Amino acid sequence: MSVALVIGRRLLAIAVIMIVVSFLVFAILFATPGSPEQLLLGAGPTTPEALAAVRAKYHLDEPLFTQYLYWLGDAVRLDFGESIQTSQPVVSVLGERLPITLFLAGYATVIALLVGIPSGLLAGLRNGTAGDRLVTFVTTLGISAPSFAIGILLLYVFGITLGWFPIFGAGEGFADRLLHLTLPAVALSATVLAIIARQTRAAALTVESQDYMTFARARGLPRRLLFGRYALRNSSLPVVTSSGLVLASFLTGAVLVEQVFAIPGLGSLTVAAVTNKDVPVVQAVALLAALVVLVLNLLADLAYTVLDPRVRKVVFPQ
Amino acid sequence: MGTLATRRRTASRLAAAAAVSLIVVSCGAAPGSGDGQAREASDADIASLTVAVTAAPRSLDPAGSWDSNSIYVLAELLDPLAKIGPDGTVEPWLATSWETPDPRTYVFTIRDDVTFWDGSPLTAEDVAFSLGRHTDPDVASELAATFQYVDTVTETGPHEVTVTLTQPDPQFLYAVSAGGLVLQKKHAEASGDDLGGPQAMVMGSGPYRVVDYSSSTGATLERNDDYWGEAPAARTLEFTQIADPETRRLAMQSGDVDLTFSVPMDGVRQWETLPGVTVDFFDTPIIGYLVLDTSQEPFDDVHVRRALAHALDREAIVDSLFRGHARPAESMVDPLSWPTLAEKTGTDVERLYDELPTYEFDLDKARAELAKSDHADGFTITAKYPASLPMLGNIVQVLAANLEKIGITLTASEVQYQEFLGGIMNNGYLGLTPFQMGAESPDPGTALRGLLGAERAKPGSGGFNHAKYVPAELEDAVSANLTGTPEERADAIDTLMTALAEDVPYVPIYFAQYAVALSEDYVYTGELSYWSLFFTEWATAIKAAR
Repeated sequence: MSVALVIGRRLLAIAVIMIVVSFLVFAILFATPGSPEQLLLGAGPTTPEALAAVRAKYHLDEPLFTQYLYWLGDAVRLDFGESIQTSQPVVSVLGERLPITLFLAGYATVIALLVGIPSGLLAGLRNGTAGDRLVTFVTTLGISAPSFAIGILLLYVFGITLGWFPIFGAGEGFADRLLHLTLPAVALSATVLAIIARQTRAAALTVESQDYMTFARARGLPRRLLFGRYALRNSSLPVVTSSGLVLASFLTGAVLVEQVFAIPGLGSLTVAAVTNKDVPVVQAVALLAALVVLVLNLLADLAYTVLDPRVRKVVFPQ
Repeated sequence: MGTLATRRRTASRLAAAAAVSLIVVSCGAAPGSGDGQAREASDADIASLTVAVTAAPRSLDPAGSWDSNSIYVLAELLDPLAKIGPDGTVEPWLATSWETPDPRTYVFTIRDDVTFWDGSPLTAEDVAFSLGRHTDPDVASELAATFQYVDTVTETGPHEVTVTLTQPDPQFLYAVSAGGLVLQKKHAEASGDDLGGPQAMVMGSGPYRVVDYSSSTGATLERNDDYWGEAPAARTLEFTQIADPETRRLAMQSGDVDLTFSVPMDGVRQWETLPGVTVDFFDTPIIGYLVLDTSQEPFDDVHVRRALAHALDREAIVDSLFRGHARPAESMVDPLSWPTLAEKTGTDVERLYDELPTYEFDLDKARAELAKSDHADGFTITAKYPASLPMLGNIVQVLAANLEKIGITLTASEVQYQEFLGGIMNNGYLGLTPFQMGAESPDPGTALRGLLGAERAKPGSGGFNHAKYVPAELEDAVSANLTGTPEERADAIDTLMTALAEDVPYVPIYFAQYAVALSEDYVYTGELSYWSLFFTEWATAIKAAR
């Protein structure tokens, strides 16, 4: 089977899953109590005429399936409608927040990988040493502390007391944004960093006890080769899988950190949209999240085939 | 309206509930903040003033953003026809004067020296357009209820606009003051659906013009140096969204934020001790109350309702939950909302309140009332409250502890704001529901307008008669309050207040106070009030400290 065919099939599956996801999310929102037209008119007393006009405009009196088809018809033409909360096009609402969230998620992922993997490898290969204990202790702390608590602590120490970093907002321009998003990225990556370090450590422990490692050592291979080619590559499969998911979870799961650092990202948008039953926004965010997870999974699977010849032979038999 | 909730605009929206109301009585500086010395204002320019809001304006079009966070910004951009002074009186603004040849007709004379930011003159046509669109179903304005009795709005002269009403509306001048914000017709029509959005924004005549706006981060405003009125000291106003109360406080502490109207009442003590920040409190007509649905058991029984009223410990709630920053409410009508009407009618407000039946906290009396009811053995009930107003949940908990002692089991259940609002608006069976409502105008009849009358109890009516309290003999007073002369209205309000106190379909709990936090580098020179802060231009009153 050719590589193109395998990828093509996967892409088709992604499209089908996206439609299923969009319908499920739509149906769930439809079933939740609450009326968006009331939100559209503010929470004060209103008039029956205004309520009726809004219900008609947003097709709110139609049955679930008809409403969904209205949405789907527009969505396949890439028209995702207008936010109920702000009356702005959903695409521009997302367009404003997505770059910030991507930056933050990317930044946090880089921190998690750059710190998590080396320290995990070190701990695994130097099992039982003081360095291993230190990594284990710090990662336990990282897993246990909720990200918003770490965020507020970082704000106090580095924002207020030391005054090194700004306290809120996302910043303008690359350098300013990097400065603004450093504390949030650290807070966001803490838990995941700890998990990655633990996973890498476990994988490295397993690898470390394999015969080929003992043999490589016996052959007197330099440490660089030992760590880089033998240990890192063989420990990397579980790490690659989790990295894809990590990035995906950062994209939509940074709500608490966004809240603490007042960052206008996708997470806070999602929460506000769900709370206010802002269907067009929720739909678009859900689809985006589904797309990101599915594509990253695909990429992770493809990375397997590059990293592990055994997997390659199963997926692409010659 | 700022917000009692720790987060989310929705909370304050509930508080707003259309909104405009009262008079300020207290506004002393908070203990512990600053050096206790009154700082003096100087005439120096302020380069930039950063204001933290809990949410960015949803839109810059008042028809699509009638909530507190949006109004703070809109009030600087758009001039209203008239304005409500801190004491609740209506003062001329864009309109220099008005006449009412008959109770259904208002003729406004518009200033002839006002220009929009682009230099073009503000005309009667712009005014007629700005008022008329709120009653257009296609606009689906959030101010539709405020202007519901408006029939026609016509330009009757180069500087004259005539409004006719479908029925006399004693609240109309207040509506025009709070919601009668004027925007440019030409710009609005050219913008179409984009009006109020980040591209088209809005064209106004206010002391500030908007240079940048985003519904996710905030807005940047620049002083309009051609403004016809008094010029504010701050050259730039920066509105920035900080939803988290803790982060907002840290940002005030670090000096990154100069001002916020959103001081959470449940963490107010930490705010009062912030170095370099002054926190001032003021009274609002925002009322917290319990809805008791009289249409079904157990609250169709007046004795059950009275038992509940006797079991509510208002003093404890105000002291412990609000740390004293609220007033216990004895009636659904705020005594502070009376002066303007009472001055016209000579009503003896003090006597009126003295003669109302009241329900002091007394569990023996509560037990006695319950014994007289059909539910002498007590009952079990659940009260839903919105997650965005945790204070209401705390109040239900306090009440539940006392009800336990007389045999009633009350459970608090937190629901999402949308679900809460949906349940309320559909006017289904509401049982016991805690609620918070703002006032639409500094008038004692304003709260009763939404709360009473058979019309307002119907599902989908948009009314607030959630208790479904509809005694036929009160309908005359209900309509007299809506359309009557001042004397008729004062009598009607008296009748309605007495009936509400006798029958307790609603149990009043508190009138909220709000707090404003301002950096000590600046001084607020105006009179802090619900009206002057939330419904009219406020930035002009902020000066640099000496």
